Amino acid sequence: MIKSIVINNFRCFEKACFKGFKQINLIGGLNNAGKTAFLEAVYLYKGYNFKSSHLANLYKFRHINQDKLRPILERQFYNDLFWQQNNELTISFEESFDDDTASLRLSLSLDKDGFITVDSTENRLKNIISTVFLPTDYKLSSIDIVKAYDEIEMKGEEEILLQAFRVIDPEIEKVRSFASNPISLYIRKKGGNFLPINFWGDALNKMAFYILHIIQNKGGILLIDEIENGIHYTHHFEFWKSLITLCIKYDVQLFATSHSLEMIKAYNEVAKETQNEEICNYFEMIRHVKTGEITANVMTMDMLEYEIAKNQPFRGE
Amino acid sequence: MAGSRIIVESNNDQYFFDALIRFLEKDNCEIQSTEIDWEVQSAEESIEKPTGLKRAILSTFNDITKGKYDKIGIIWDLDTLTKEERIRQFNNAFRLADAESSYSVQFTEMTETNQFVSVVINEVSVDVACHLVNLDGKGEIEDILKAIKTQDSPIADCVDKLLPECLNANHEKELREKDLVKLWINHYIRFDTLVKNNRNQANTKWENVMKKRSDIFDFGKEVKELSEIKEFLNMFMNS
Repeated sequence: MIKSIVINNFRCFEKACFKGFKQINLIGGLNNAGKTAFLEAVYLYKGYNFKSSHLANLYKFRHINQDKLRPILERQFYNDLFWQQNNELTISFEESFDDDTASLRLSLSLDKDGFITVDSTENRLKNIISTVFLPTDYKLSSIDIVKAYDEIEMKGEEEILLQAFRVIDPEIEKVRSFASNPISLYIRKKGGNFLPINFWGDALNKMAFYILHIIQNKGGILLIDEIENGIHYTHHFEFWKSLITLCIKYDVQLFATSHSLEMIKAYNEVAKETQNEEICNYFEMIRHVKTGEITANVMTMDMLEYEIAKNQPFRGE
Repeated sequence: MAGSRIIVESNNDQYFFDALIRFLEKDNCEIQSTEIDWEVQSAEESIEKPTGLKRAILSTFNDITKGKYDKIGIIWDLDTLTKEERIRQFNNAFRLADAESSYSVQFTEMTETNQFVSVVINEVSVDVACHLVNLDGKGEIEDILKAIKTQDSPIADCVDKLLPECLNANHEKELREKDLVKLWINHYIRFDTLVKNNRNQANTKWENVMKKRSDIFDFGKEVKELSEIKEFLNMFMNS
């Protein structure tokens, strides 16, 4: 589990140090506060294994059409990774430990031909873990969702998905995949017919993506940008309950961002009610008033509860 | 320009101090108050582990890093503690907040009331001071209010005089001096300063009294304990 990260010269971070990560981490802050860039930093640092696809995925997270960009050369994209697009700098990510274990480091720089060169300490390579990033408009294709579902059904864990769906709609009776046209995951309500998941609302689809990724990503890291998207506030509490329970069960470390007051409140309430406060933290991403650097106010669930109760600002305002 | 946060014991105290600040600005046009935010915490906490005060301070740390405040004050009733015990309690609250926070905190311990000490939170420096009311058993806010009344108070005075005698004669429970003063204030604001038709909740709710009817008290009157509070509040205002 990652507990801290120092980020240098990456995206909007000239020099930033974040610590206090727990298993479940929710991040709030103003627009352009660096929340998505922070998720990208964790994605690169914990998951980058020298495969170009890992770097190329950063295109997708920013919703950039890779085909259209290719003629502009990847160099422009790489420039965007650097703080203030200054490609003479070196991007670095570093993780240090309380017990003075040697710190882990990943650094990226551009060579004179515009190709990225990567340097990683040996011990970081040994600590690479499966890291999944779900951007704001993330969608799984019907085929991928069926594959993921079949995988969990083969493990006999399909009931978990059904239970999670019932949080959104208690009338849901059955979930299964069909290879018939169209290939999809199908859902049936009491007294109804099977319908492909694409015909159901955003909340069910999001729930499916998140849960399938947690189950598939055992022991890994899940990064979710704007977690509240598509989920009605009346479902937030039960949604968090399912998510936290599954992250514990599958030993997944979660980093999620949110702008939603209701979502943050629900997170706090669930952590308190399920006595999971010790594994949950909230981070308010802000700019340091003096240095201008991006930093985070780290709040325990106790403090977050206090800030909510007192109507204090805790989302970067 | 950053403002101040003053932590007080109750909403009622906050309304009183707010009224006093409004008066100070009217009284001396050269004084411009900075924006003061109030934070209310119960004073009934242990000296060694003041959890509520710690939370209020941690919350203030969050705002300091955003540049909202450059001064923090604590106004507390001495109650049954000694001055040294109260100051130790405040220092403990800062120490606990430091231990729990992710910030780098350099804290100079308070050793005296009404004096700023410096606290640096993630390289942002703020001034911190505390003020104790009710020293030597005098100067509780209700005492001050009773001393600065502007209206005649026949009903409040009469009840105040006769109630202890009545209780004593009937061997009923004794009321503490503190409770009698609170009753005096209640009677004063309801019966002595309002005509019968206006004696409703809107006119007697403490928040409204302090916001709309604070002229039933003379905040300019020379009362030692009141002057000390004014001096303390002036430390949080820009001249």
